[in-house]
Amino acid sequence: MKDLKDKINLQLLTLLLTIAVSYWFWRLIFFDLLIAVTLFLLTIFLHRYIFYKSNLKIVILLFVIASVLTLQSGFDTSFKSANKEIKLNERHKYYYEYFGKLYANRIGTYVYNNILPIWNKFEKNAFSPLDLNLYFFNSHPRERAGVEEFKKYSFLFIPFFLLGLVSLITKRTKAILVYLGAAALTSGFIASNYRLGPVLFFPLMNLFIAYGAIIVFSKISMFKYKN
Amino acid sequence: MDVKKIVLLFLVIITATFLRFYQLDEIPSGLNIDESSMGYNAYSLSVTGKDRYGEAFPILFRSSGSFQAPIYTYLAVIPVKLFDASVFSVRFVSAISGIVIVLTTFLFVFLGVNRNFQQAALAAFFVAISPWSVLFTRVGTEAAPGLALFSIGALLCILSLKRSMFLIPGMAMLGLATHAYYSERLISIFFLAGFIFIFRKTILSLNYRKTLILGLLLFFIILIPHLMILNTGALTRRLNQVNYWNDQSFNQNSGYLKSYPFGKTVYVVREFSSQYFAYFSPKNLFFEPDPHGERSIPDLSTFYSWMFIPFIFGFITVLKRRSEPFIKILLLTVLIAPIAAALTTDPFHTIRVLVFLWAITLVITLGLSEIFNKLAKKLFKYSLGLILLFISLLSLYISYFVLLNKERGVFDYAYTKVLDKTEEFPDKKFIVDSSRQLGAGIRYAFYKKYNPHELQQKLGANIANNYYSNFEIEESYDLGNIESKAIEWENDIYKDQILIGDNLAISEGQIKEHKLGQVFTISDRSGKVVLWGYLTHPKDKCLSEKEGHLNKKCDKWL
Repeated sequence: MKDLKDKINLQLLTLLLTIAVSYWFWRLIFFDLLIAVTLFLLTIFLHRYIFYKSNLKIVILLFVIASVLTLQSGFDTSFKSANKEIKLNERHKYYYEYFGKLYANRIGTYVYNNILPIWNKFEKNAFSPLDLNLYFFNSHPRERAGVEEFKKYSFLFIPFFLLGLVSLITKRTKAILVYLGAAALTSGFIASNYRLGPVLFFPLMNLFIAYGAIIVFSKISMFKYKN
Repeated sequence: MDVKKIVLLFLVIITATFLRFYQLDEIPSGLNIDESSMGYNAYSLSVTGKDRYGEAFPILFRSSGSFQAPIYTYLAVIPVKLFDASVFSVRFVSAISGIVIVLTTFLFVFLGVNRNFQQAALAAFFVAISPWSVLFTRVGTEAAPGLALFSIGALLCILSLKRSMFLIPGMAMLGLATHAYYSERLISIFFLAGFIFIFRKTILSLNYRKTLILGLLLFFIILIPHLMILNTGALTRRLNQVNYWNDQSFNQNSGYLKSYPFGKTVYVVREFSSQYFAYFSPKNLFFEPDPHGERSIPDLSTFYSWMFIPFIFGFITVLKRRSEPFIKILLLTVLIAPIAAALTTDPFHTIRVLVFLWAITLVITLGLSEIFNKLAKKLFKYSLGLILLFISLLSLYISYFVLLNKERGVFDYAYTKVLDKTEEFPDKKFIVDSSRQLGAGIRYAFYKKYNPHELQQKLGANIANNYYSNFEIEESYDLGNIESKAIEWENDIYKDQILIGDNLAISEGQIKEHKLGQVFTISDRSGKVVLWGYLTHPKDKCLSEKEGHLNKKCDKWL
């Protein structure tokens, strides 16, 4: 038994189990096998990089592939919607009233009409995945109008997620923050109602949950192993 | 403390004061129902010593059955006496609370983090300019003094770790906070319990025993008024209205859990978890504001979106330094503050978590300090600081002073304008449909400074000895030439008066059928017509009826 334990990488096993029991993974497989496989590999290699500081180039490559695949199918084409235009025009009057020529000049109106709507949309998309409830409660209690919310993880995984987040973010701060930043920035170009969800966060979520589970299970003696 | 530091602190206070008092009576426009209620009660107290129902020294203010915490109303008597009953005097207590919160934040961080002046000033400044702080200290809300009292209590508790004598006033302040707002009833108790537990080696030591016992005694004495009305239902009335563990909510929202054993327990745990964690969501904190228009600023969330980055760094800092006493208190506050709000169905209800938002502001401050410490070049640091300051203040000005002013008529600006119309038609009675505007009546009572003795007789008659227990009494505000109620189509059209309502209150069909004639419209601040005033023509109405001569209401007209 001890030999078997030594042979099996329990970290990896827990990670694979976490992926296997997530509803999200099976939805990915059902809708887009290529993205599912890419994300699966990205999760594994991200885990290797975070724990063993190896395979960074593979992680970057897989991240880029995942991003390209996602942008192909989920790129947000609605950066400036018709509804927003109406509101923009009404606000044009308010800004002119309050700022006068400071606003009503070529630069001011260009920024207002062209730059600001795009920036606002980008911000909305980038922040959309930064919501715990999106992953564990189908966005409840702030379900998004016009979006098909779907289950990603059981809410019973939250304690593992929090434990993993708190541990990993203090131990591997730079790696986690860099990945988080890259995923958020790329997600800024993906529609928030993309049917596969915030896929670039998939590897990180699984890592946190798996690591949290490892911390809990390592307290139970038969699962004790060296980290 | 050198001159530069004094000047810096002075600038922070000036900024806080300006942001809270500038156009305080105009933005937001009008008074919301809670402000009107507290304002009129304060006015009634200042004139008669009793609230609008004729109750002397209420433990909770009945306020149409919502039972408002008392501290705000009692404090509001002072500005109402000084400045007369006005929008400014109603909001004055909130604005002052906002400045107190900024000052206590400075002291809390300064004394908690090894007298680090820079960090303390930064924390105070962030509290001064954060959207949540500006929004909720410019509107009359019990939550503002609630946070002020809590923050003073927390400050005194942290001081008590060095000198035990501060424990008594600290506990007293926490006890008073429970009388300021609903959330603080739980937050103060949890905070106190958590504080004693975390620092039990100090607090339970021999040196502290006397002050601890005296402090707890004082805390419980201050809580006695709550216990006096515990069985009436008034204390828990608000929670009963908004909780999710009742059978109706379970049956409607539990889905498949209905058919499982312990399904209700799982449902409640799941619901609580989802509500609780919603407050920690970066999306909600930094991007998507509170869904309710009265509790948010257009295009601005509770914090500026750039604050997400220092928030992450602050979160990491808090985790790494969690053994420090100040960080322990901060962590305790962050974890317990959303509990009260998470017991309710309203998603991300910001006004219920001001203590939490205050604590998050301190986390953001720690994060920004950490970022600045990592930046070597002073010029880059100051440039970055100035850019962030400029962006923040510009966003605040645009979103709050321009857009909120123009786009949000949420405090019923139009309904307030009805009072101007009563002067144009002095011989007519105005019936204002209040089906969707429950606060219209009390708002008019406040603006007209309606005689409190008369209103006490009208409203108090229905209450009798059931001030804290009878919840379902219908209140009508008949204030002479203006009355706020649901339009009674069987009666009101037979009187010579003006009916006022929104587009849902009076339909085209009703206008034709009841021979109504439009006499005016009232627009909101953006210029959109939201209210219509119709003059009744009872004689024409009676003549149009087939059996009008048999209708007793037509006797006067035919």
